[in-house]
Amino acid sequence: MKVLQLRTEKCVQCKECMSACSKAWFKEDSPALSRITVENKATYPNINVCNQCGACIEVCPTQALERDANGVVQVRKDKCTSCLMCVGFCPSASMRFNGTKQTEPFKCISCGICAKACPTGALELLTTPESK
Amino acid sequence: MDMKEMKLLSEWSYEPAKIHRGYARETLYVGLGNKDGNYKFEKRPVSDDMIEKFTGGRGFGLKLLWDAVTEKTKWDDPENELVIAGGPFCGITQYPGTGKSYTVFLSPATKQTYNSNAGGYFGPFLKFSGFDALEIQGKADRPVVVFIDGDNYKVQIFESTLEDNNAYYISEELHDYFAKDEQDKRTISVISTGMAAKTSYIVGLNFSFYDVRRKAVRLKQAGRGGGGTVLSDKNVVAIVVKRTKFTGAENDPVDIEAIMKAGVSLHKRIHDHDNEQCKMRSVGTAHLTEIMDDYELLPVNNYKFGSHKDINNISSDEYAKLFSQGMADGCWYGCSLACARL
Repeated sequence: MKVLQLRTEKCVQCKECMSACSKAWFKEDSPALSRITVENKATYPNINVCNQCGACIEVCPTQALERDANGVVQVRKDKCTSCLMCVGFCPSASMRFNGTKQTEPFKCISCGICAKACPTGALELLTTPESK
Repeated sequence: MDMKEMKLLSEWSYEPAKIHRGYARETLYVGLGNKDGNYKFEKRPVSDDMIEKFTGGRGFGLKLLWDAVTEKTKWDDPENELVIAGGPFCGITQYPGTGKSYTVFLSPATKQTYNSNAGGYFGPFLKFSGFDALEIQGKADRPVVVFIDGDNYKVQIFESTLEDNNAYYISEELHDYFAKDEQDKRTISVISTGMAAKTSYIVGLNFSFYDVRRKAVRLKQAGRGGGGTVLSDKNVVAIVVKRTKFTGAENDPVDIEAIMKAGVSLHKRIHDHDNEQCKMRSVGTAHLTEIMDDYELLPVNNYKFGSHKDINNISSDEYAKLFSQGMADGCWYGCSLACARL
């Protein structure tokens, strides 16, 4: 399974990851459109991104959420009815939505663009042994 | 599927209205004649005044019924109508409860105007097909199926070939009949009633949807007032609607972002607290049993008492052991309360 490994102790809160993510997927540099977020929690960084646990798959009423060949949870927009239940039911609050761009939710798909943009190695795209 | 092909009796095509701010601003009238096979179809406009005064599903139903009948009309007269209407929120996918639509009719049970609502997909699909309401008037000369094809913008009346009057049988067969394949079954909703409607004044209406997880047709009820008896009296076996495509903003709301935020906020609270509070997702309205017992509201011994010492035998915990299948049973999209059971 492809998943982002977080090394929070290395994070300097530069938010280059958020910028790279939103530019890659929405062609716009906006924190509100990033699938990964970095927040300052009492001076410590708090990185929030999907860990591909798949709890959302069980919640979706149209089976629009499914794992791809890499074990990454994907939103199939052709099946999605924009009910956003996956957003409210995500255990780590990592499913995103933004009504200015689209009604369907969006999430980290382990593309690794943020990891490449990270100057300190706080993010790494790993392939874990579990295939599902 | 073992249903024979149905003969087309009448057909009508229409230009669909586009939904703006929750209203299509058109309603559909289907006349079945007076046992003479004289079918009639009409689009009727919805005025600003009608929206201002009557607002939503129940109001539209009352207005259309009022216009259709006189003070002398009886429930089994041909001019009695079965009106089905969703309000401006009907079909919104982002938060719970928006699959509901209202049925309004002169009731065989009370001989008065009656309304009863149901979930399922019929109301949203009717709206997405371009209609704020559906009026069915008259009586067919033979058992018919009314089909609103919201994909091809046609209304068709078929002679029913259904061999059984059971609501589950009717719904399952018609989902099969009008769907191209398994995936397509969720684009259909069927309104039907059961065989008891032939002999009783109190029989309800069933509104269907296709559950993709269970791979089964599920029924929700507009159970009060005898709407099923009215449908049966009109010789209508079923009303079917089909609508494949719709977006998350099909109702064209003023502020979709606000709706999305409100929806997510509700979903989050239901996710966090439902299992401790109402248990709607795990046991549905069965959780009321304990609450009604605690508050002395159960009709024990015909309301002589309000609670019972053996309540634990019928509590929601017992219910969950016997019936719950370990998954939430949704209804219309976005209803994270998912109170439908069985």
